[in-house]
Amino acid sequence: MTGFSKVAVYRQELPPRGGFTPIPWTRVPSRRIPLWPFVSLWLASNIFGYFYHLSEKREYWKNEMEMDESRSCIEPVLLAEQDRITLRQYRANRDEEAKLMSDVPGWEVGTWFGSKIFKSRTYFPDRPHVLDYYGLARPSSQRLDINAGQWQI
Amino acid sequence: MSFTKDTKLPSYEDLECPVVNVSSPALRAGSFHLAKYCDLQFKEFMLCRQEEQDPRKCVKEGKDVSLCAIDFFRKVRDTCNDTFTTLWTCLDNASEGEMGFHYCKKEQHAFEQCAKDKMNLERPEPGYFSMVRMHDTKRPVPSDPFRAGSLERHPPKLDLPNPPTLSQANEYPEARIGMKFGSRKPWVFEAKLWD
Repeated sequence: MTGFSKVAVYRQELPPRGGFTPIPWTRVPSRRIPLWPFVSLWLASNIFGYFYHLSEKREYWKNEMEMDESRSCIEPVLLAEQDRITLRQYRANRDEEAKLMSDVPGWEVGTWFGSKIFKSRTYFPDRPHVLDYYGLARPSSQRLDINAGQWQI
Repeated sequence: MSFTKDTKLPSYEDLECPVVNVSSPALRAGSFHLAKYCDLQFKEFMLCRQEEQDPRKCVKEGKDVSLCAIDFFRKVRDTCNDTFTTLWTCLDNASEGEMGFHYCKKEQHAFEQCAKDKMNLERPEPGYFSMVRMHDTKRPVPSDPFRAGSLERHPPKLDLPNPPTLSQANEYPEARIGMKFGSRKPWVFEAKLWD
């Protein structure tokens, strides 16, 4: 009656033409991938790898043995030369000690004022002792020889 | 320091010997053929060293070893120098610093072939040098009871005959006499085998 000339225009929310799309309500199982390719590949790699590993081990130990054998083949040459060097060093040390202690009363070469190291039998070492070899040397010579000990042959 | 005037040390003239003037990769390259060529001298020296355990007593064998090694490398230099040089330079340049032979298989085969053809030296099969080898010498065994290889420490074993077995009892009735107490003491020989 009073002031209702205009009608409110609204848009009603309605379902679309033809209705809603159907809602999927059935069970949909997840995507699956087959297991057998992976298992067979793993088993094949195990079997193949076992035999390959055995052959590699054989080859590795063959090479190791070859290196050890070459070292033991060379050993007599090196040992002979080292023996001669040590014997020369012993003689030089004894002469040097005689020269040094010539004026000390009561000193005999190779003993502690007359008392010997080995009382009943004489002993000759087959491997040189540090003191026998480096006893009268300057301190740097032992450090310099360590470098030679690091060489592999 | 423990060597008195009384201990006998060899003089400088006794120890004079030419040095094997060969570098370490060359030593390793020729090691197998060297050990084959100088087998007798090497074994003699190592046996002497092990038995006597005294470097003074093995100076002569050591000199033989050095001279034989020098002779071998001189021979190699005269006949197979190229292959040998390639082999030891290859070993020297091998990775990791270890002079491993698996880096230089081709050069090794070339050198082996050359050694076989020209020097008539065959390299023994791998594993030969790891095995225990026997050596026959004229040098007597040292007899010092305080040394490891002496006769007092290792007396020779007596050869005793094997006791008779059961099967032999049928063939040799004499053996039965020794087994009259059963097999409790099969090593007892009480048989009178002949008059």
